[in-house]
Amino acid sequence: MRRHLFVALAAAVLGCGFVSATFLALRQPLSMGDYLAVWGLKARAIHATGELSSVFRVDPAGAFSHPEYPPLWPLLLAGTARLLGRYDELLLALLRPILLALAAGLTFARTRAPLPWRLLAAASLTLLPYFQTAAYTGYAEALLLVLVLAALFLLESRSPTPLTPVVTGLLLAQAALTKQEGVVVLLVAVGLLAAARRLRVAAIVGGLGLGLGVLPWSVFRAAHGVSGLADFAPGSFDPAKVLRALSTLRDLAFLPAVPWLLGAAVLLALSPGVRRERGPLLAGAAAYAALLLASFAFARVDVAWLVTWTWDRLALLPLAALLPALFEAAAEPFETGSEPEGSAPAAP
Amino acid sequence: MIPIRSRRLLAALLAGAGLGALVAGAARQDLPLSDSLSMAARFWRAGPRGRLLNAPGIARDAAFAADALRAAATWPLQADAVLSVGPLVAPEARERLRRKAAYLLAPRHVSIGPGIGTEVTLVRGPAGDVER
Repeated sequence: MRRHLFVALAAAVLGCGFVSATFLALRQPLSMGDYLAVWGLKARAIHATGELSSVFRVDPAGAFSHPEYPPLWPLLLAGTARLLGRYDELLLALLRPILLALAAGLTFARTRAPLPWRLLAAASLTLLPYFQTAAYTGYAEALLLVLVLAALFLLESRSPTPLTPVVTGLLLAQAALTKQEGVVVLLVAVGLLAAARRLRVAAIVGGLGLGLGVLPWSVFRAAHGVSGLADFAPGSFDPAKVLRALSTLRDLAFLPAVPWLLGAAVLLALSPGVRRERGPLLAGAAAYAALLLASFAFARVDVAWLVTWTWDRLALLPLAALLPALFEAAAEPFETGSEPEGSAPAAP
Repeated sequence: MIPIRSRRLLAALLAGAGLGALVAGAARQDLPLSDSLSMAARFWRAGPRGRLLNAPGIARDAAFAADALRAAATWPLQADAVLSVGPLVAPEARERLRRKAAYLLAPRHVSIGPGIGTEVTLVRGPAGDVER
């Protein structure tokens, strides 16, 4: 009876989170912030011309639209608008709940714990501030999240097929074509696979990710003379920028983040089975965060400005990726029973 | 060695507190529910043009956006645009209007031209007149 109640409660929280996020997304047309200046601008250009190169024409000097950003999200918006028969910012907002449902479903599927904990993991994803604000509707992170969570789901599979590395590589190629953080995920995934001596899988994933994701967009940009417009450049390297990024992050987010970090640390400390099982995921999240932080050393623009306007969106990916591990850790003491400490959580 | 009951209690407390904080954050909305519902109803009843001109990121400069939409409908796609902005227009406003014009006139390139006083005018530029 108590278990049924727990399942019902978890399902209700998931339902509330999803309905609330969907309502906020569909309440008004896409039009805010980077949607207008970056993603939607390019999507409307592609929709009007049918040509990818039009994303460079709208802002050839790179004054505000970041021509170097990968094009998959604008392509998806433009393609959906074509299917709908017109570019309608309200109808295109429907993509958000679809992507959120996929991300929540993948979080549910990745969580190796009994049903209520899996539902709570999915619920917590829908309740993340990124999805509970109208401001970020129309931004590219939701698509990136779905692609990365799908790749993680395959990489974590306990019964991989010969096609698993291929599909994972294709997903990470698409992630690299969605946002530059997708390239960082690809590098981390390949590095961890190589460190685990899964060299064949690492080669397939890395080859497909680089060959079908990173390379084509780099060549296309270079062919249109926009390769030098990136926010980051080797010539701008200055290690002190990393310290400035950390200092800005401390001012912006340290105090609110402390309870979350402590809570997560205690949960994991109390769950040796999850720590053992999820070691690669924890290492991957740490490596991803470290690489993002290190990338600020190459920033061409003011680092404090960059961190201020991006940190919450940059945090979305590692946070969402870690949710299954955190809910498995919360579930572990309830699953171990009288077994010796350190046993793994029961399979769902 | 922490007793299993204490571990369970701690895990339940931490998970509950985390979820509670997320639910509380989600419950803090930018608008009262009734206003949100009527806003959604207005947008879903409106046509595509009304939706766009009243969208939160556009509505502040709705008259300018309406001009830009008219230009987008009549100018050829090959023609670019010049946004003439007078020196008395604040730089933030100039940049805001430039981005809106670029969005509404896409795929055309919108460049900034000199204007008089508080003038804000969109004029058709020559095709392919792009700055690199």
